[in-house]
Amino acid sequence: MSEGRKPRRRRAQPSRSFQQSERVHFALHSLNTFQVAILITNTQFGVGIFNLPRVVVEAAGHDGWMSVLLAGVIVQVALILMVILLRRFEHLDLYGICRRIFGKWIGNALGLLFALYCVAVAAVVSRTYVEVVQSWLFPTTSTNVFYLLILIPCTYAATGGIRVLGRFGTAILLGTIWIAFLLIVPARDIQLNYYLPLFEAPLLDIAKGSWNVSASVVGFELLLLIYPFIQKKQKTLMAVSSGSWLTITLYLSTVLVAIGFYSTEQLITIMSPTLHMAQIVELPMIERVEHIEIATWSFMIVITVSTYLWAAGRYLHKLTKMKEATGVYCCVPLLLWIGLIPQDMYLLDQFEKLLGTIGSSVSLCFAPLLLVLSLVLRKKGAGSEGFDQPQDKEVNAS
Amino acid sequence: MSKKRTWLLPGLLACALLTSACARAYILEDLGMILGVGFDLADDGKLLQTVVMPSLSQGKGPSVIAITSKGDLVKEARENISMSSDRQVVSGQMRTAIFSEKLARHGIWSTLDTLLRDVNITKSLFLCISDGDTREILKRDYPTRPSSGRYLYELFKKEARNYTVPRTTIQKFDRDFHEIGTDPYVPYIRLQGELIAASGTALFRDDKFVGSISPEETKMMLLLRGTGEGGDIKQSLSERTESRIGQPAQMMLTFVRTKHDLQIDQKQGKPLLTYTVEVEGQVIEYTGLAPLSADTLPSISKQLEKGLESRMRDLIDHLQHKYKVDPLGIGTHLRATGRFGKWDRAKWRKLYEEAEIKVNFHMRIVRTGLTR
Amino acid sequence: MFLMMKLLRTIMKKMHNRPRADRPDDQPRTLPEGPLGSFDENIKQMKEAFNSCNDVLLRELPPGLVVGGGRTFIAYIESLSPYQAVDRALATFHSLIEKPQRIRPDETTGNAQVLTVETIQDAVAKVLDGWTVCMSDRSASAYAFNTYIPPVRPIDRSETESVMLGPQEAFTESIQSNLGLIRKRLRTPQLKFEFMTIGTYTHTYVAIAYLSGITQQEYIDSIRARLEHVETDGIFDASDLAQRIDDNPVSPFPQYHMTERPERVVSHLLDGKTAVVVDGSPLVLTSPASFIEFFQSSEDYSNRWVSASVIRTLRLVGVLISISLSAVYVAVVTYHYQMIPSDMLITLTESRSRVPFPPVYETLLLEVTIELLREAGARLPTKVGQTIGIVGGIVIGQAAVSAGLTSNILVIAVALSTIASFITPSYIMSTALRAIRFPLIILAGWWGMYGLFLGLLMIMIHFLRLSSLGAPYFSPFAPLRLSDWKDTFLRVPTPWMNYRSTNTRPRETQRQPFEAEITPPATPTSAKWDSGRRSDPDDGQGGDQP
Repeated sequence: MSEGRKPRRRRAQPSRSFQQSERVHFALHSLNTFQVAILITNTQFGVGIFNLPRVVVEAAGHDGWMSVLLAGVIVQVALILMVILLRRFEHLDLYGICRRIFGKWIGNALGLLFALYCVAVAAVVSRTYVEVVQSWLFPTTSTNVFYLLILIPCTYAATGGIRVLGRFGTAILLGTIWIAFLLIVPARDIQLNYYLPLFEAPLLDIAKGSWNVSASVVGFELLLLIYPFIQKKQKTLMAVSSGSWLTITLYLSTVLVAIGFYSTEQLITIMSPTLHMAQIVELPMIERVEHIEIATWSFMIVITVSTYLWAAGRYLHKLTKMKEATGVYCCVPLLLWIGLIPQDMYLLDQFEKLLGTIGSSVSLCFAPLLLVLSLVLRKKGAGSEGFDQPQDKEVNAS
Repeated sequence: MSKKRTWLLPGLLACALLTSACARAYILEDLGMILGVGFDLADDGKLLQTVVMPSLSQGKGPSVIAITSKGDLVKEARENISMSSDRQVVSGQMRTAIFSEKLARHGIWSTLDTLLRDVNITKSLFLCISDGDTREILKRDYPTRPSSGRYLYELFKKEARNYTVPRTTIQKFDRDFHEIGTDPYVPYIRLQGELIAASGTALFRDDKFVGSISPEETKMMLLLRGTGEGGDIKQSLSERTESRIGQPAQMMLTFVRTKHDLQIDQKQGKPLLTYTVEVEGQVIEYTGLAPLSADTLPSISKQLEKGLESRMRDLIDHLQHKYKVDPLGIGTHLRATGRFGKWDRAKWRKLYEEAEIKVNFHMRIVRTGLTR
Repeated sequence: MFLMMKLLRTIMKKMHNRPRADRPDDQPRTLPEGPLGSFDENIKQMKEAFNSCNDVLLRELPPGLVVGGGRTFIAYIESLSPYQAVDRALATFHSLIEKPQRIRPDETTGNAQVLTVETIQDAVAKVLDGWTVCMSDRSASAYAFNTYIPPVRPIDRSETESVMLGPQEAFTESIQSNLGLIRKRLRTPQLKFEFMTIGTYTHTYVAIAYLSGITQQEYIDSIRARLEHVETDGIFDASDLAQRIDDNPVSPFPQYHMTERPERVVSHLLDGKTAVVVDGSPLVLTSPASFIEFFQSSEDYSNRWVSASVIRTLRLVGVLISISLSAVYVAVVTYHYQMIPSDMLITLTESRSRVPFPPVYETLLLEVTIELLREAGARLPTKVGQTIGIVGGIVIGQAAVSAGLTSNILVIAVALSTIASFITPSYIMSTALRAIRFPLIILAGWWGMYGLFLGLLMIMIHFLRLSSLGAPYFSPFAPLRLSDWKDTFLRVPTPWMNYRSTNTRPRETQRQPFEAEITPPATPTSAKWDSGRRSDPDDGQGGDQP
């Protein structure tokens, strides 16, 4: 029998046949097509939709819904360019591509900037959501507590890795799809006259509205980071396009219903028309459905923030040899700090606008820029970057 | 996960608990929930606010109490109310807001602004105008309902189904007020003896009260504005028909369904609007002597059509020229055609005054009940 | 929460890290090693090994009793071997020694099994297994005879998993009987049992069962490796073992099915799962398990699909109600008064106004009372248990309301959620959900709807991170597998359940042929089966039978 201490064992290790070479890459192929599409949709859905009708109508009047369509088209173009870039570099993600094009130092510096951007977006999105919660549900309580609270599930999900995030996206979809049906009630009160006359706004205004919308569809640039994990890489474009168009469809229907339900001049005075519309719904057992809607929206926010947080943690994982989960934990203090800076509405608004601009530029321009540079500098292929090591030994991945 | 990370998250959790802890509670029984509110104009020009709250007397005494207070601002008056109640006064359950006619003539937007701004108040709050003091209405006890606020709420819900009063929520008022092309309208109530009676619509020009129309005229108006159903319509037939009472025969139609179509043209720079309304209904009461058969129905329908058309013409004339308000949304229709160039309030008012509005009815009697 | 427990574990490990060299030295640490020596040496060693084990009979039989001209030494455990079996063993021993050419060891004679024993260690182990070991000074080798007839409970109904329709046999504590119950239902050579022993002191027999044509090799290897790695003093029950071979022992949720019903095990095996049968435990573990399977009961397959679907949906809704109803009450009454419908408002406020506590404490008080009643009721004998149930349920509830300790609506809410928590077929899962209810109530009390939804979110993320034997736990929802949805909220009619569930990645995916492929019987019995028949009229001559 054993003498002295028992041998250390953390968890039952499967037997050696489990680690055959053909199994080494299973962690890479963790997301199937559906999960990719849903993940893109979920990351795009943040708090933008609350103010979206007002924002487009401010810019383009009652033709604002066309801005949403235009934004969809722009996003589609950006996605195509992104996929071309990714295909060029085989199985690398953004950090790998930067390193390949620019070499180790500048590539890592660019990666650091992107990681900081991810943390900032995560902070602003969660912070804005918490402001909404605080102003609608808990008017007298300070926002900091809620902010800290929402970071807990975000960290918990982000440390699970991309596999958990992919499944999380699917689960969230099932849990929040009912919110879309809340639009039916205000849709019954639509005045068709509010849409007419069509094409009253000049194209420039519609374009301006599009720019405002693009701050709400930011999120698809994370495709650059989840690319190594996609199972069927040849279906990537279809997946991300469907995800993006799903978002655009939902945005479009919200904006259409809002324009029909509220008169144009009224819409400009309302801060969050989407939430207002949910208030009209009267169910037999519950009075204020928008409270439940806001609470359910936390699911959507958590997955957005978790994915961005995971993206930032992944930079640290690639840079040093720490595990992904450790990388995420290291980013959390920064997330906290950025989120706790704005303490009033106007500072937060400025943050949001700033980050919206940065986000739109990064998501729309960064990938095409890299593509152009890679063509000019004639870099392609994976080079010496190997596959990622599997993080955990899960059979039956997705 | 290794040990070196285990201190981080618990540390964060500890911080979370040390910062301002839980949310501020609004525990149910400690609240004075405002069920209905009434606004009057005091003699010195200040706002007089009356609120109705449940009194939780557990069976003894009245189940609601009404408190009045005065202030310049709504919230100031609310504070005064809260100082005379042992409960925390909150407005999340407010369902009705009444304005007195006197106050409404000066404009209600400033009062409505606070109701719209408050995140607790639901957007399906019902508005109405009362011809007298709202204090009297709210302070009364109504045997059928626990509180006057609730009584009004149920009254409006029911009457709106009959189309004798419109159903105006604060959201609808806000929408019509902001829209350049429609004037808002609000139910009008009157204290008749012991009970409140719904008596038509109060017309607004922007946010000022200008006049009211009767329930019958409300039905006419809502025929053009509504969503396809009208309540019960009473109509006199022409003088040539006889009836038991010695007056011209009268007919009451129920389950009226309407479909209306609008045609907009321009005649010498002035807009010409033609409404074509198809009405179908079932006869519920008929005081004429001639039986309703397949031969007589067409002519009776024609008489009904003519009668309705003349009533509508009178109504529109009142709206256009006497009160100069646009609750039918004519302005919105004109704006939607896009033919009138740049749109603003002045243009709207002008076009509305000049517009010629014609209404053609097509009547169809679907059923005559159990007898002819 | 999860990490706090990790922190606690680290602290506890540091505290308990004492050297193990403090065992008294009177017992030899190991079993005696070495081959059999001379007769007297063997006897001495056996007596040394079983020193003070007075239930192990070590008897030296005088010469001539069994074996002519030689002494016999016999060792057996009295409680495990009845005397008739020992007599038979002695008779066989006599034949072996006297007439070695007529009978060979390793042959079965009737019910007995005979094995040659080479080492002392083997001899001791065999005695502990319940066999009778016989040695004689006339022969150099010792023989062991299988006389193991342990005290065992007869096969009876299952206490914890009872169904209305279906077989009522349940597993017992004897592994032989359990294996027999499984084997008689799966008469195929593909059903494999692999034996092993676990536990340094208990040496519990454990069998891994699987269908070799269906089960994925990785799962079999994984289970085998996990069981081989278990190093512990002993295991008492299958649930104890389950927590040692879990993917995540910290999680409150079970990752193995534990069932007492043989037909459930058989159905799981046919789905491609592996089963672990543990001696001494009436529970059989099957894995990989997924969350939704804990809400499937064998009754769902006995009922017709419509009623089964309705009951299944009811179960899932009941689970949601049971974990969140009290928390919703707390959240709404404390923070979200606007959500109460106007009709209920005044009655709710009046009934709450009599209660001196804030809603959180009121709810926790009532919940704790109900849990106390439930735990107490589980320990009481049946006759008293029913009375307590009535007393607790009706009297205490009513008295609490009259005394003003709780409000009516809360009593109804708590009672409803308690009843709904019994609806889960799996006992382990229902206790896990019961435990989850309390953190949700506390979260709702601190942060209202927001806190409640965050709690639910944490639970959902936990499910997504959990895996059972490597298979994702929240399948078929989270890795979205629509083909598996035929068995979740509704149970599709039996002819449509053609494919096995994909969560276990079975090697053979089709369970039954499609309806269209089924050839009708030669003799049509009803209109349905008549349609595919080729009718060849045979001119009215002869018989009408194929």
